[in-house]
Amino acid sequence: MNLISAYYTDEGLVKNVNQDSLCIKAAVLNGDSVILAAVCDGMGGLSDGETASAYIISEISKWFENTLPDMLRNKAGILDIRQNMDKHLHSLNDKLNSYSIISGKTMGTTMTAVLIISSIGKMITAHVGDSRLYKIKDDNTEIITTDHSVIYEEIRKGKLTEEAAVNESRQNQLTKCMGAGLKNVSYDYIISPYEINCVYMLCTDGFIKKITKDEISDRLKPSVISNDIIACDNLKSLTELNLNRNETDNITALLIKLQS
Amino acid sequence: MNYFTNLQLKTTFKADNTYLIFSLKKKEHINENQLQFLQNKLDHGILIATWTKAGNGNRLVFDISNLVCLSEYIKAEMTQEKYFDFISQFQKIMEFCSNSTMPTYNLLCNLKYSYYSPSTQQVYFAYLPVTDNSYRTNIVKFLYEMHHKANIIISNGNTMNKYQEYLERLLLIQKKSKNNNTVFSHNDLYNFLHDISSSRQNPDIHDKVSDIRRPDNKTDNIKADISQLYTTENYGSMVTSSSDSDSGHHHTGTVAASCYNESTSDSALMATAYITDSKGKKYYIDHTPFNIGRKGKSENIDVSLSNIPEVSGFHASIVLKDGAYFIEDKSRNGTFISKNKADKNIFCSSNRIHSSRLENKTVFYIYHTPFTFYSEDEFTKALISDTSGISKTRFVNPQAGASDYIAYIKDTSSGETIYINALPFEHEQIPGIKINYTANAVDSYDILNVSQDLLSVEGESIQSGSSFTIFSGCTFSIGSKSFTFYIKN
Repeated sequence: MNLISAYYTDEGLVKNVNQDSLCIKAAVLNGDSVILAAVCDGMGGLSDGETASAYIISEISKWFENTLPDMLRNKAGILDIRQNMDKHLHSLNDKLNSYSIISGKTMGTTMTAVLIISSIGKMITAHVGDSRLYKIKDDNTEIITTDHSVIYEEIRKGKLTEEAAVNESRQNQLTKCMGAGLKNVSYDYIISPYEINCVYMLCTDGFIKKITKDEISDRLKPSVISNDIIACDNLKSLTELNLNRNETDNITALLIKLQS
Repeated sequence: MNYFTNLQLKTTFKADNTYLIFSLKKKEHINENQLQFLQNKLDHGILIATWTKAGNGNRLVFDISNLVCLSEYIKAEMTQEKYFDFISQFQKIMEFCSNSTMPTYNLLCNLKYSYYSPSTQQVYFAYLPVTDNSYRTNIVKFLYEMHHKANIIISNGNTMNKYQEYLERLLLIQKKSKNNNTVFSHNDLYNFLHDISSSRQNPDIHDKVSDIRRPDNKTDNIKADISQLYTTENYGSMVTSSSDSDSGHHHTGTVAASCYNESTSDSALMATAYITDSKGKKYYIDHTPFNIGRKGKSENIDVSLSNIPEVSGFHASIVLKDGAYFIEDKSRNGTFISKNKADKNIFCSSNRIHSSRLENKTVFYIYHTPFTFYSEDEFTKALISDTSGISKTRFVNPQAGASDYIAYIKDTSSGETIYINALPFEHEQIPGIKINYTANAVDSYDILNVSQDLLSVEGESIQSGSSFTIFSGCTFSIGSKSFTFYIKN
């Protein structure tokens, strides 16, 4: 199985620090591919958000390298892997909170990660916050994750339309994240089959606020993404579109596409 | 004042040696005492100078063989520790000059003409022992330029931010001052370096993010060091690709996008919670624990009531727990909150608190001194904004809709949402199953198959009478109908 992957990140027009972090990892175990892709959008203080997002990405990467291989060798099922991942994420959450107490600075981050295990034929999406996973096919683009934001709550309850939400001043209000003094927060997990020749795109909210789903589809659909360079160029052009439309937030996106 | 803009400096090569030559105008005088004094001060980071006279003037020649100029050296990645070691070495050179009664502004502080020895790991500067005051370095500008050109692997963003703010502040002061070099001394730098090293953060987390890379500039992608990320002992083989990181299209890498822009604007930290005293003075709660007591600010007290003997040294702390502010009493004479505004006996024992949640406009008393707590919509995060007033805030508002449901189920076919307001939960649209807390846990949920023949959870068949722990995002199906369960929190 071949992998096309690319990322692009920019701190945006206003911010001095890019508080987003990301990783893309691919490995092969006994001939089967294992892929991890994740983005985190740090929150709060200038350095606190950056520290939180980088810490979570770093630790997820280490879990992928050090814990997951043993589980796969021991033929762990997808639910056990999910549970282990969840336990690990909650332990990271507690460490972030402990660090916040010691440092006196609250820090938090969103987290959206995709883990593809070809030997099981499944992928796990782990998610908290308002970063997103998109599944992009030539004929359809869908948002796989659910935003954990106040605005999305109101859209879901029918109190707000998506159109009205664009101009809402509460766009940066989350209902949950990692860290930020929160405990026992449930993260969303989706276990599903993964698709070949489908583009999975993870991004922080700065990437999608000023561009449309159609603009995303046009540039990132599988038939367009034929190699890494085009993938990166198209992520860059979407980022520049955001910047031209005065997006002030950090902007980060990565994509992976599996090919047979 | 000539800040080296008209200096005649050049680098020459002779045999295997390299020299920096500083040509002085004919009328300038060399301070021979200083020149003599500096002949053997290489250990102090001062290059040895040789004075030669030429028909059209004087020349100071510095041997810079085997040294790398700082402007080149700092382009290569260096750890944050190494970077501050450079600053520290420079501070010591300044201190040496000052203690030797030599003006520090005659140090040649220019990235192109400052040097580093890879073998001794020392920085070296040329000192211009001239009697004329025409040549004066701007040390703050030099440090600022180095800070923005150095390619630093950041391990402690707090420290880097503090240093940047420190330099920006000095530059601002310099602009307003007539004499640029009186705003900054080696002692200032020493105190600053000492302060940041003694406020080192928890190493646990920062050690783990030590592989954060700093991008070259705003538009380039992050360089990811992929060669060290993998070991073959864990996986059978690892997919690697070349570190062609400028385009960011390699397959693998862990990157942390921490990018610093040159910025001249200050940033102000505004807390979304604050307290006011009886005179209306505001104290922003921009960190927790936020301490109130009789001790001083240097002893970690944020609001000092030093003139009230009944107030304990550490009297009370405002802390953040589960997204809400609490005040915790640590005193001998008590912290009081009265729930009744008309209470005439506020300081009775029943109003004395041990730990009490602070709501917006809660009045609490540190002994008998009143404070009022204010919070904007129960936000738990600090607001950061720059001087342009553009908010860069991310808030967590876990209280949003707190009186609503605790979880919900989405019917995948119809898209309908079924809200769970209380547990245990049963619903006619999902017959034969019950959702409840997992036994002995309040943050874990089980689905119980009461009477269903066709219940499966994430593809696993669940027998009647059995339960299965479910998670947020978990799908379950009853026959052909499938549902997804979400926890709200």
